[in-house]
Amino acid sequence: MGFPLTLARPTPNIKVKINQERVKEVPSIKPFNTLHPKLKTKIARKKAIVFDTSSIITLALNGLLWVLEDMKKKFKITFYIPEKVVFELIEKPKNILRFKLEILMIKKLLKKKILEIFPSNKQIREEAKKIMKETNNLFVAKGKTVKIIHDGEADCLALANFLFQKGYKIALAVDERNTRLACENPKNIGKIMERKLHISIKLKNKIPEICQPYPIIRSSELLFIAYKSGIINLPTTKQEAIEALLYATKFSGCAISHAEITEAKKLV
Amino acid sequence: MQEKGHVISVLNKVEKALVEGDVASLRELSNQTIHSASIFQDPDSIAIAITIYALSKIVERPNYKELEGYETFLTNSQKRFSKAAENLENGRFEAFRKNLKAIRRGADKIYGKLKIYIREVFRKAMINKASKIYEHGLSAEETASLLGITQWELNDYIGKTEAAESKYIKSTKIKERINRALEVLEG
Repeated sequence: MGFPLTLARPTPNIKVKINQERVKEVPSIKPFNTLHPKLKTKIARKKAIVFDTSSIITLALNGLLWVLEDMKKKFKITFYIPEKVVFELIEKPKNILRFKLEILMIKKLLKKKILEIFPSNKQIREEAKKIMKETNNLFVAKGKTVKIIHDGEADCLALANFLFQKGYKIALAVDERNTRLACENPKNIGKIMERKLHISIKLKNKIPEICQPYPIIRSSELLFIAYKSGIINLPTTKQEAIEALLYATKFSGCAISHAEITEAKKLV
Repeated sequence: MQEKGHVISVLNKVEKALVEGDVASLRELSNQTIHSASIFQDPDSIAIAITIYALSKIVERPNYKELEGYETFLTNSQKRFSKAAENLENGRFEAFRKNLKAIRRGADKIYGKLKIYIREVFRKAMINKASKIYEHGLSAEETASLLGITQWELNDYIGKTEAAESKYIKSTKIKERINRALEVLEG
């Protein structure tokens, strides 16, 4: 028979002897990406998608913000936006009646914490400054450096970099062309300018590495996955549904081409 | 102000094109200006391009000519262009900017339907030129900020343009992008 339930068990008086030699062997805490691959797999990583203004606008203009709520539930993932994106998304257009409903829907997502504002910190601010400086000093046209990305866009990259370094599994959702190209193929921004402006665009500096090796996705890929995982149901064939969803993103400003949509239809 | 000499020449040509009702020349002058606006990201060039484009839209519509206030609006615009060129030539930049602003605000002194129409033409011209600047390689947020519009308005418009069809915008295959997104979502 054990002790009566009303009595507390007496605490055994055990002296713990700490082996100081072993303590010295315990490694200090390292950033996740520097850990050994085997160790990495043992630790459950937090996962998040950082959104920029353009990808949220695409979803909002198509009445598809609700998809985020279902995706969050299904994939147990966090959706972040940086502070500066809130200004561009909500504050700046608040008096435009054309977008009033969409803005209210975004506010609802924020209130329900489906979409979370990630507060800026010194590290993110410094990273954003560095990104702005490096990216906007990359090209020279007629002797003048060309600014290719703005504060909010740099903030998204800085936040994604910050979370990646903290060990998060990260994807960056950007519908806007330049931010994506600045990470994946910056030279192409110069080529677009050369082609449209009919002048020579020179590379001033070595191409900087402004983002960590996380995937960059668009609202189109998110909707593709939402459809494939049964979150979106449409009364038509798979190909037609993907076509409808992806063209909806394209016509709302997502930088996706006709050829890419044709390619996506073959994947469904 | 970038390329001052070129801007003065554009302003003088605009005045002449307005007198002659030459819509094609106005469009061409607006396009020329938008090129330098994209290179130098110069708000003055952007303002000129928008104003010229909006005026070309106003001049080309025959039904506007019958509305009260049209002649006054057009005459005042011509005078202000002439004055803007003169002020720019003499280095009076603030006065030059006021002249341009006065053209854009010209509709405020008109009563009736024309006022609403002209305002709408200017608003649409702003978004149209924003999409052109975006096509020239600036980012969406940078473009919206330069033109004083929101990214919402720009997104709503750029989807209808060919900006996404350039062979240079594709950097990763869509299949790979989907797979990598899935790795994060399911990981």
